[in-house]
Amino acid sequence: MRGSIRGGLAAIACLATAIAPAVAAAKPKPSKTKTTTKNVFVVCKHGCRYTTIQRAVNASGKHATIQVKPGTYSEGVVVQGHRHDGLTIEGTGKTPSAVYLNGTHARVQGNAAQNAIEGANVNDLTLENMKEQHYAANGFFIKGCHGYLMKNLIAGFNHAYGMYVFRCVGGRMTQSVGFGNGDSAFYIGGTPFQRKPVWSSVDHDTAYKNVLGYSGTNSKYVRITKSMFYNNGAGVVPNTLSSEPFQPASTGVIANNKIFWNDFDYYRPNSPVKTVSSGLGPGGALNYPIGAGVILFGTTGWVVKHNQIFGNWLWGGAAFSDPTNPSLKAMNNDNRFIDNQMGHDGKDPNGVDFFNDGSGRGTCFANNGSGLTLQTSSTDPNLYEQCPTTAGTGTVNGDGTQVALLLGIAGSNPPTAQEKFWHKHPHTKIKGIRPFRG
Amino acid sequence: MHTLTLTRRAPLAAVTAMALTGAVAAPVAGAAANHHKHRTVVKKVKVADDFFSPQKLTIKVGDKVKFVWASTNFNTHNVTLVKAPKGVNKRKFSSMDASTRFHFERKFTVPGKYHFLCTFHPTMMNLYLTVKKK
Repeated sequence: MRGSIRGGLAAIACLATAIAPAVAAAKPKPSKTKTTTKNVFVVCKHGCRYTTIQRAVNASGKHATIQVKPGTYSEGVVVQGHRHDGLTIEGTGKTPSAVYLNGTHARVQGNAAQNAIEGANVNDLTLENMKEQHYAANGFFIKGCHGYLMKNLIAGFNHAYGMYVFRCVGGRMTQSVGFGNGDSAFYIGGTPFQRKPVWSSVDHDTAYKNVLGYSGTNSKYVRITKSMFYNNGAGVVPNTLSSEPFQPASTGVIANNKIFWNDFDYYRPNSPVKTVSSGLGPGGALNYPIGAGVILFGTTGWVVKHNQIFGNWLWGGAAFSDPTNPSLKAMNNDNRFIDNQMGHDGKDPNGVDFFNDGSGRGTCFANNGSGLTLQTSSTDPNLYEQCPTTAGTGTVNGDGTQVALLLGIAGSNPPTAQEKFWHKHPHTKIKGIRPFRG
Repeated sequence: MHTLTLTRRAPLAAVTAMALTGAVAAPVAGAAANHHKHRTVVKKVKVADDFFSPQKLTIKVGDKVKFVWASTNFNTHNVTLVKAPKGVNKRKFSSMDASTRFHFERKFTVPGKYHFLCTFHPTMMNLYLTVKKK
């Protein structure tokens, strides 16, 4: 199973090139101080002063560059504090796979190494041209920062996230690939409110065979563009949860992406990727929906535009509130689905193109093509209003028919019974990529 | 990087006793062998999605608390000391971020009230610890 995942990389590279001609735009932030040989720390397995990345990090200071030569490194690197601001850790191989951080047996001070590389309270950290797999928590993880760059990275088969950013202001994940992660390949969450927002970018990336392609709890000021999300349980899922700071997820853009075939049923007994989520709601009886392209879960002010969304057997795009959130901040407000190409011109339809629970206020739909399929309600004929609109209940409680359907899907027991809500059909062919169900 | 002090290995007898009794609180560091008056007790706190268990705990000066991350965790958590008696170095009592296969143990020598939280889930995960004089 994993072999087939690795085998897809070449195809991804081709497709990424096809949909993302502007790759050259990804340039690291210029260093504030000139890099000199004094600031360069070379790491290799044999013959270098530093044989582990951690030792080089410990020796380095601000605006240093750590060059990691090809090889396999079994460690969990921690970069802690502002004395490392502006640090770059880069693989020097021709491809990211040449520098491989393997978490399988990696230990940090008597415990399983949690992350391949963690940057905590470091501004403008750059991680580039490396691959990692099998860490106890996440792959590349940065928290508490102003600015970062994750570029040309590969993150696979981690317990939770591939590339994970928490509580940061601005930054970029680009030209990177995440697969087989127990939560999402890419995650930006816990974003502080900002008077003059510094936006983050997730661009020219690829996520496949994850529980989620992109997830971000209380994610804000994020542009997700020119990326591919396919064969995940769900493709792109910004969300609001009361358990984490800075509710709600608000002000984001999902544009010019290909979001397709997100029909990975990781609930199947033999799935190579497992979610360890114990479920939502009372007694954990509700599970995350599978088979969806975009889910806006309790978000405010997210725009989904100019995407190609097809072959997702439950929903192409969905927006709904979370009435169980005690803060009442997980509300479906002012989200817009506009100018998307749904269902590949009828050749590879979504289960239904759109689902809206009718809660909140102002969520709208415009110019998403003809022949749209909508999850309609027997009690509310105004769920899919043109933009702009003030439609909606104005509360976290949506239309009764829609909510009942939602609970039916999420409450499927066993969870793999969610598949009965899918509209299965053969997909169109895409060179180098095969559909994956789990 | 926060420094983790490795737990001193308990003598075989104590380890065997712990294994046999399965006790949550167990003597360590060979208290009997060293004829110390106060046995060091280790209390376990579970770090799970998204709660500490227990959420309130009382120990005596000289006791230890061992935080153990649940194997079923989905999320990343940490143990961060935000309130402590005067003179306690909060950083030394704050863990790395972790999801599973992780533990963090500290000995408490200053009596008073301590408040720990997880900075990822600050509203859900709080532990109030009271350290009493012997």
